[in-house]
Amino acid sequence: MSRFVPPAVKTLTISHGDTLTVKQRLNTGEQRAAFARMSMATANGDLKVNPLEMGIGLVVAYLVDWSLVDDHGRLVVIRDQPPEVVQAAVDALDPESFAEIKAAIQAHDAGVLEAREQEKNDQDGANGSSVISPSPGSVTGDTSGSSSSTPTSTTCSSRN
Amino acid sequence: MFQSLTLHGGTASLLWGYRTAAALRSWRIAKHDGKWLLTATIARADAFQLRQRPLLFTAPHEKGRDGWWAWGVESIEVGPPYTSLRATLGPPEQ
Repeated sequence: MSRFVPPAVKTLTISHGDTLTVKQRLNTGEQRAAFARMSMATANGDLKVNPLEMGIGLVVAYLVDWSLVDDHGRLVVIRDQPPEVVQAAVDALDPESFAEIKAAIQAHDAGVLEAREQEKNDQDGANGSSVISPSPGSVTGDTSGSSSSTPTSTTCSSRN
Repeated sequence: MFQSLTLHGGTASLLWGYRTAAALRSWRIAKHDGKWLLTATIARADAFQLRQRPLLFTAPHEKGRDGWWAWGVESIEVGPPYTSLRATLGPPEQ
């Protein structure tokens, strides 16, 4: 089994028939880049996750393409654009649309984490190992509250 | 039917899926004897992704025209230290 993450994508459908093309799974470099975008330096030089950036950071990390058009009916191009361009396009959305897109990608991210846990448990079951503890630091789920957290799971997840 | 044809441009990309395996600074494609041959200068490259397959060469159409040129990459040689490359391309994609 390969340890490398292929550039597979998945299509998510949101309201009004719009679609999002998202990465099936983030590789190490994509995850690190996402954490870097979400992080800020504290007064003593440590890095911590900026809760205000977690949602947008997750969206930009996963988003590859979409079907969203502008007021003139033209596709707003984000495919193959740098993260700054993708973020600018997402930041131009109305808040309700952003919330919907973020929720769809959060659900996808949670599904990725769950699938990886299942895969690990299946592999260890096949190898005859004992029951596996879940990976630490999963922060997917309800997004009430706004406490900062540093994700330590293998996917990018957002609490806000 | 053209026996030979040359296209050239500035920025372009070699993609592995959605990932950019190489960002190209300038490129030239020549069709000769039925083969499409790409030569390009590299602005930035990912050494791992450049070795994956399939790769797709994409370049934006000229100004005033939406869309992209796209060719599948059949073979590729990268010149050290990742500053230039030559590739054989498949037929242009629609």
